[in-house]
Amino acid sequence: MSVIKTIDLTKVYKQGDYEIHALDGVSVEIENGEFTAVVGPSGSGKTTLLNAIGGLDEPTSGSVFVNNEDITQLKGNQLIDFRMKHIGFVFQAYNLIPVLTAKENVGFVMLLQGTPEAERDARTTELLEAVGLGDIMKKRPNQMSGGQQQRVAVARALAPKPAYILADEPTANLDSKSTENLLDIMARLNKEEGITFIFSTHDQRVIDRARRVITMEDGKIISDERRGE
Amino acid sequence: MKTIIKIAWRNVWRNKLRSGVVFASVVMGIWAGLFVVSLSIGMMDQSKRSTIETQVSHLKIHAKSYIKDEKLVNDINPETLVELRKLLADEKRIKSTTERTIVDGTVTTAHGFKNVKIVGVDPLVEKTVTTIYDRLDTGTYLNKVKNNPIIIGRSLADDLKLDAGKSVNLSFITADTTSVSIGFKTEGVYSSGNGGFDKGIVFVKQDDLNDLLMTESAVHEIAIMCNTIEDAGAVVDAINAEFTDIEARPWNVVSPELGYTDEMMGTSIMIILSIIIFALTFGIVNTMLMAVLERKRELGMLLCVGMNKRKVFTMIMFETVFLSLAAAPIGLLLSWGTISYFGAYGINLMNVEDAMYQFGYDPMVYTKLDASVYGIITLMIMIAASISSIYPARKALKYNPAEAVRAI
Repeated sequence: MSVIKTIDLTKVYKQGDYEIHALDGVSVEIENGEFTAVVGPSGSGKTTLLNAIGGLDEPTSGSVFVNNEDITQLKGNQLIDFRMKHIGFVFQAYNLIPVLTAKENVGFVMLLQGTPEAERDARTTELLEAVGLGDIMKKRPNQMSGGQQQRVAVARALAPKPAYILADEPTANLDSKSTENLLDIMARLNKEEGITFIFSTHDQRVIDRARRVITMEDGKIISDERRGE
Repeated sequence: MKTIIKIAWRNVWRNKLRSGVVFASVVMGIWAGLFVVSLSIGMMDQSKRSTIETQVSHLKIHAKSYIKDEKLVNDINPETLVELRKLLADEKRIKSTTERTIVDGTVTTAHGFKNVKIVGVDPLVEKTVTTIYDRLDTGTYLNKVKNNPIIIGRSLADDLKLDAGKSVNLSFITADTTSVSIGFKTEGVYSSGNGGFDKGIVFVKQDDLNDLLMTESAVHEIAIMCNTIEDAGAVVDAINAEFTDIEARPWNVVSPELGYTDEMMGTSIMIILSIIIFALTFGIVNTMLMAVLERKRELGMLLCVGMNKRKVFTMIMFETVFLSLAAAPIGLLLSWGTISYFGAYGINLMNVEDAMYQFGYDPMVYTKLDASVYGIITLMIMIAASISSIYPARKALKYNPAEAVRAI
């Protein structure tokens, strides 16, 4: 069953008299439980595709269905609410809230959703232990390494039980050991809990671990490779 | 909401130096503003009290003809005076009264001459109404020199190079239009705190003056102190209701500039406070704008993960209000402490004494501020903080989350 489906998605940016086709008729389906890497050179449209399926950027034309709901029809706070309930984000630069502890960061989205404190507390503890950070729950981002911050970001993305997680170059700022560690955690969560991960990446280590690799160039999908276990 | 407030509060202290600068500006702004206001009020209040105690009293009574033309012949009708004395004696709101004989004249010495108003008073009675007796730089108050003593003001004494013990010549026209010029001995030199008054008014004994004027106890003016300044209006009304040939006038009519000072003070306070708050607002907007621009990526992330625009706006608003209001209690406390201290011990502005004296101010100023002004400035800061938050918060809401999360 597809969790995400894009139909003839286009995104055109105007730069003076020129038009840049960041997405040029992209149609793709992502199945529930996939571990997918979107790859391609800079400017190929992979981040634009992730932004479109994350409801962060409005496409010029086409549709994005998430669990059969066309999110291109949602506006303003409707879209913000949709993102909060259905999509988890992991950013290249971690983007944790500096003034909150690891545990508070993980629980933040659940708090926005109005999850009761006891449930929130149990879930944040469970997730931080799952990403191997049970011992630094009370530390703030500036007291953590980059790898630890990205693991907190993964736990934060997972906390509200989203339909899928979009990770934009999640390993770009990490060293090899932290990258492997993070990929192990995400692969385990994908396998054991069936969480759908979609990455945009240049990192060969991520590409090697992905079970599906979508390659883009000039705003088009030029190959879509599915791999076995 | 609790978490939004918590994040906002912690955000305030993320950049301690920058927040500290704003914090210090708010503290200093409040302190400076309130102190200047309290100093102005203290000076005005002191000037008003001093003017009332030395010159104006709470109210004055004159013949209506005297108000139109301050001639010697326009004294209060003797029959009216008898009735008036009875009324004043029965009026419970009156604390003390003094009757004066007044004539225009000239003081002459070897160093020159000056036109003055010669005021004849009963020294013992006058002491119950005015405080000139207590403001003598040198000499005594019409009780030592037996023949024709005179009290003159400091400015006049300086102009004519006079001092206690020295003789002057007083010239004036008597009731029968005879010109009189007679010697007086300076018994004391007073400083009322108002250079203009000191230059133009001399005091002599009423009996001496009436003898010289060949009038029988002519009374041109009755000055009255009530139990409180607020009683003046009612006493004036009571007197004016009984008599047609005299007119009682309260202090703010006798000396309109004193009344205007009272009215203007309220406006001045609001203007001073508004200028300070206006300046602070710019500082706060600038700081918050920098904070919002610096945190573009973080704000983008908040919008990405589902924090709606209302909550982002609320968070920025709380940050701004916290930044402003955290400093307010310290500024208010510092102001209260300073104003209370100088209210009790005064500020000695001796280095500008001459200027103060010429403008009618005493060089010792006691700061004074109503509790309501502390409330007003707190309210103004809260309003200013709320207004200051609008522009930075709107700026934050305009971020495109997809671009903002990638901001460097």
